[in-house]
Amino acid sequence: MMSIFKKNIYILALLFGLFLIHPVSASDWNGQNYLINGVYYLVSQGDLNMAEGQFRKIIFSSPFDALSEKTGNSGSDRKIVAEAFYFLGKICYERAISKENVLQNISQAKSYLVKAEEYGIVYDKLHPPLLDEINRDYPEIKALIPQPTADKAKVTIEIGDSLYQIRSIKIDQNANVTKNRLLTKTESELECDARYKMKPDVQGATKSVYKALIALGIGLAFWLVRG
Amino acid sequence: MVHIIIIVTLICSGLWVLDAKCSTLDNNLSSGIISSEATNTAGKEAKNAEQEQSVIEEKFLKSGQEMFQSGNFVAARKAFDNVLKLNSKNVQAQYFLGLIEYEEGNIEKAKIRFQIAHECLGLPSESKPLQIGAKQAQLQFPDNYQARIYYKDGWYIRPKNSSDVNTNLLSLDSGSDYKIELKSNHTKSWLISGVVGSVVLLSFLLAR
Repeated sequence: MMSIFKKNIYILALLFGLFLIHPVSASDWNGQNYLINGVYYLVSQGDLNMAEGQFRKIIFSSPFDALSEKTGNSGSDRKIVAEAFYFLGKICYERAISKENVLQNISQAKSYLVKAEEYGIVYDKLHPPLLDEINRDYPEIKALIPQPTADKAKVTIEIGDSLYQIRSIKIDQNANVTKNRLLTKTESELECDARYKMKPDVQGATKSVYKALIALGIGLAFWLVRG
Repeated sequence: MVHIIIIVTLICSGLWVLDAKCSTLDNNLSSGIISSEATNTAGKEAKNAEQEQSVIEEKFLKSGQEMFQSGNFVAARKAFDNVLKLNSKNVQAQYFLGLIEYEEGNIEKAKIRFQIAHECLGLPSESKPLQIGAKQAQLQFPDNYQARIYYKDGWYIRPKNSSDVNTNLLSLDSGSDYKIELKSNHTKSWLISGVVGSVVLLSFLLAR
């Protein structure tokens, strides 16, 4: 028979485990696969359209944190997003070089490459610093600023009766990313032809509940093993 | 009050699992039963060897990526070659070897590596570009939330496909007013734990 002492130790360990485990889900995002496919289409096949499709999929499917957080667990995901923006910029630049809608492509390329830098692109031979080159060769063309569309839908989001902030990331058809904040129980206008990734900011409330649970758990644990 | 009930039930669920484990251990020790399933041993050994190999593969891969990032391409190549010795279809190793070839100026070799990596992925080539419906806004909520969408006047909008019921991607039409109700999935799992825990608690009380 297991000794009471040993059993109590197990109970204590389990209780601490139960209360300290925070629900963090592992990222099972397949962005790396899209990246590998995109690089294959771009470098090995020279198929700009197929490559562009893969890189856009990275932006549209990326986890909220990879697009929004600068720190935390999303580091490797952010690198993939940075590469996707870089290659999208490169594709636009290559189209401009082949005299295909130069003004629009250069403007869009600049916008993507600025985003790539914002997300922390590391320059090397596969990722040469194109932004410097474009700025030098096309100083008069500005980076594209996404224009608001006329088509809008109105939405009111509710999470129970409480008032929360909702962080939102808008990705338009051309994979331009803009950040915003909404409030629950308040009507907001959302532009069409775009995908909005939403994340309710209820962490503050959850954290205080966890703290209370930990304190109560410790108290209960001691009460259980006092004999 | 609800929190306290949840805490008690969580603790009880934990105790219940622990108790079950302890009693199994006790039974095994006291009866001195030694597993005599020799036929399973070979299978288990093979499985262990497989797991060990995948751990080593992962270690080589990680060290290769670190070497690559620090610019030590010789060491990185060695690590990725070791990965491929263990698993010739490792996509990451093939891809990173392609990147090394590119960095070293061997563009043709890089192209071949990228092609092998692409083939190892074994994904169908999707030519259909990602499209958002015309004059639509798509809303995507985290997986741990359940979203129900209504028109402003309260009419529930049933998803067109039954498979869409469980996805948190909602489409809103231009010019319409919507109300979205978000519910955290955590509450549901806590409730289930609560019910299970209450049952366990009751059985503990009865047993005493």
